[in-house]
Amino acid sequence: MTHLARSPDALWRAVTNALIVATPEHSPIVVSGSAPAMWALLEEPCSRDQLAEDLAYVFGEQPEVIAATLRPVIEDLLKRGIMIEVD
Amino acid sequence: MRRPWLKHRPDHRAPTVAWHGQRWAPSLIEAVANGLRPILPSTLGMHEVTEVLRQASLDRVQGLLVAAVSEGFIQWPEAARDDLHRAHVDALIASVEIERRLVFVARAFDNAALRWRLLKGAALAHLDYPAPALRQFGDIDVLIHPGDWRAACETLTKIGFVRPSAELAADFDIRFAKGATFVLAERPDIEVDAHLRFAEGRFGARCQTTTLFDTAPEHITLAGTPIPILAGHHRLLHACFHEALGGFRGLRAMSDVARLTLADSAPTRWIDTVETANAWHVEAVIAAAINETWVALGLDLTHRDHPARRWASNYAVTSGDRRGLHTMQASSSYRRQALSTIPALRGVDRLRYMSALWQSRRKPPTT
Repeated sequence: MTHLARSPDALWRAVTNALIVATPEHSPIVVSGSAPAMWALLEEPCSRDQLAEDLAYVFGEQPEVIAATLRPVIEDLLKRGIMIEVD
Repeated sequence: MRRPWLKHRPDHRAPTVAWHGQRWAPSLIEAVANGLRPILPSTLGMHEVTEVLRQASLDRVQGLLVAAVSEGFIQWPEAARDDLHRAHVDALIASVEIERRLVFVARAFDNAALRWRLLKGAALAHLDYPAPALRQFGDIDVLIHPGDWRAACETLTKIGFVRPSAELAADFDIRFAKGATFVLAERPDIEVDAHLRFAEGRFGARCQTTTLFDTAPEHITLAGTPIPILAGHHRLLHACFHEALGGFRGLRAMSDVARLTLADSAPTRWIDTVETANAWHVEAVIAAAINETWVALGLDLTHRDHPARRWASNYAVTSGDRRGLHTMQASSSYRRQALSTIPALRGVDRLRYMSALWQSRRKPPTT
């Protein structure tokens, strides 16, 4: 199963309600909402399902609701090389 | 080890405590002192927050202010929370952008096999603060080994930086200058301040920065790129120069000095700093920085008996050094500061320096 992880190229700062993240090739972007919590959980690689379950527990939501919200964010961060998929 | 410079001198007079005439809101000082001593809680009204936020942004201590608000030491009006958050996020975007550019600079320097160290900024944020988000910065400061100065200037040019102010005269940089500022041609707001020395003037002329390269660097890693950084006691040395002679970002400079001096992990770091300062004859700079920091941040409340404070308050500053500190702290003109270099020079160097200064009609460097 593939896991999501922080890219070793990621340059970032996380504060209460914002994640500021860049790579050498991409300028910084600001991701708000649950992004700082997601980034904290990604200190260790984890699966998409596990990530959604953990965030659902933190925010008191249903995992499928969180997963649907996360999907476009994850795809964008993967595309920018900020997150990577590892085996 | 015998440390004769640690003796208290009977004719001591502590340096005058003044920071360029600046005064800060008491609540902002409490925010900067958070983590260093017990904090006096405060409640700010809407009529106060604009000024506090302006001062925090000017001194680049937005992160420390946000932390003090988050931890409940400062009651910040709910209606102004977005402004506070936005100011911090904007500052962090700038810091991350600078780190991004730093990676390219570091890779280019390493490819050219240059001897260099990162100063301030990202170095302190990652090594000397509880979290990098607490320490903001807006440019890249690097120390270059004098033997690699020309190559470093060429390397920066190759990767898109330009030097707005030309060298005053042939070999002026190596012989006398603090360094040079480079800006990215495509984004002039991205600056690299390349340093040969820690200051202009009397104390800059005494800097023997080559010796700093004899000590193994510490490192941070950004985007897989190792970044060499001065050893802790040399970081404190540089922080003291910046605080006592830098002339800007006062609260952040004091925060750096305090955190480097009071770090639990390195309680005797300051002694090694003073040892280097003694070899360079710049102890007055260290004493001034520590004394000013202790007074301005109210650290005497809990750290009056810290040995670094005791040493600094008992250090006997010579009248020449006192004048040198005053010249730099009074925000004198560049030319006035530069002229304070002359007594530190000897023979032909003094003539060369004066000739270069007097022939120059250009704006001063902005490092």
